[in-house]
Amino acid sequence: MSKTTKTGSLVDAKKMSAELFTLTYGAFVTQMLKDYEDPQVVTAKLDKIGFDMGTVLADDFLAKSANVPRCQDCKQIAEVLSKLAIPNYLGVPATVSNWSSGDREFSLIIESNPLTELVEIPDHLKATLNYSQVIAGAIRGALEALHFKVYAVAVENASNTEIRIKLDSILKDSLPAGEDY
Amino acid sequence: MAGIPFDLLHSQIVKYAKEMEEKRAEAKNRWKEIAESIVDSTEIDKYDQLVKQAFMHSNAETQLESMGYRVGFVLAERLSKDAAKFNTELEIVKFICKEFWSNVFGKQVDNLRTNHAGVYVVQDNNFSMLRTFSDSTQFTKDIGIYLAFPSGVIRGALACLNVQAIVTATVESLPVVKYHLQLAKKA
Amino acid sequence: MTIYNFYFFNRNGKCIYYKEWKREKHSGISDRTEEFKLMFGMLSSLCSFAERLSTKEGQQVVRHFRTSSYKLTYIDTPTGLRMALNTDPYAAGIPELMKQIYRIYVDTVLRNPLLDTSEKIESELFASRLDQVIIHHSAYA
Repeated sequence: MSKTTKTGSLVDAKKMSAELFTLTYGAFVTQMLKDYEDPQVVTAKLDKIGFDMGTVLADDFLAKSANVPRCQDCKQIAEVLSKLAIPNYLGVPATVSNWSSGDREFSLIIESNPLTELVEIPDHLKATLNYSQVIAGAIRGALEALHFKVYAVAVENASNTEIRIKLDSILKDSLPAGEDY
Repeated sequence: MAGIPFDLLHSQIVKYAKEMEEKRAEAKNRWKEIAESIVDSTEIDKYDQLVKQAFMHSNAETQLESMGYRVGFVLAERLSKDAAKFNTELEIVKFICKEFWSNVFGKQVDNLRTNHAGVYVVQDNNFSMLRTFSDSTQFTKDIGIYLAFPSGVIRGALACLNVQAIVTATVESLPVVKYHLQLAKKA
Repeated sequence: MTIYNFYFFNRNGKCIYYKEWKREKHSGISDRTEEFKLMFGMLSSLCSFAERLSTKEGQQVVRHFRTSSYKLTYIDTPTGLRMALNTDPYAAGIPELMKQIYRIYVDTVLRNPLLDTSEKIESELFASRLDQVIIHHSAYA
């Protein structure tokens, strides 16, 4: 699509579109902090925004991947999220760890979270703003579209982003099964 | 990263900007009512929050445009780092239409025209951010607000390269977009 | 070879899209909405009854049923969307075609913030892309 020309070298297009996303997200969060001032309100908004994005991403993911098995439990959910969904939409892999609550609760660790790559989160916001909550919200939205009600929260650790996910229940309007989609 | 996360994020930002505009309009109306009934000027202080909300920003388009501006500015900064020095205004516009456009919007522009007096018309026949809306005139009347952010991105990128411009966009039939760049005269 | 018609239901069971390419005979149900409801009801019953009658453990998947003159191919998604496509009894490659339709739906409807996804699909882009994949499919003609 694009060629290197004499005026400059081509930055990896994939990287650039990740930067577009990162910077746009950063500008958006900044705007919300201006409008609402309370970082906790902003975190809640980011969660809702992520949720709405996640419901669409669920269908996008199913429509575009071949033969993803229907998840039956948390282990399978963790597997699909860390190996397929997160690499696909965030551009980086995630690892699964910290199982608890009888395998109903786990963490996804994102080592180089592109959302925080170009961003410096001010110290006074670190305790109250969950900057990457949009990812947790998207996971919650996507899983709810698949009839799994979960709680998800994004925490920035010193060197990574941790998404803590807890399965609450399997929603009832359970529809007849289909296998491949 | 596939294009869909960005498209969804952008839709959410547009939705947010529209909601904020409604809130502001509401606050303005309430403030108007209150302002008319206030007798004692010291009472005004009580409505600090409301006044602030009512006069915080301009409309949704402006808010989206200024977010785009910030994004475009930084992207251009990162992209032009290794680029050769630009000698003319035309070189800068060409850089925006080629390197910048293909990196940010996924392809180069399809047409670039100029009147040689500071006005450039940039046409993209399949603009990445609007591809999923329509391939006809359906939705063209509602599309304006979705052009505010990318217009800001372009204006911000030009500003980063020391070109001040007014950027507006027009759509006749999707997904074709024409951006009109009106460059400020250099002093 | 022929592709007859297509039904698309959202997770609430509402028919959000219907299109026919060749339909020589009508159901005799005067109200289209009534036909959609009956179609949805039949598919739901078929799926749950198939599950019940199963002689083996595990989820059952209804893929299609066939009469002497047509075949109804069915898919549902874990997000609760359901599609049914009627073709001639020996049409091949229909499940893949329906997955293609699913992708078109995501790209032109779910990604378009100006559309209300709980309502009938009003996107001309969806309609034209759907037509394209149907008409160019080997089972059409």
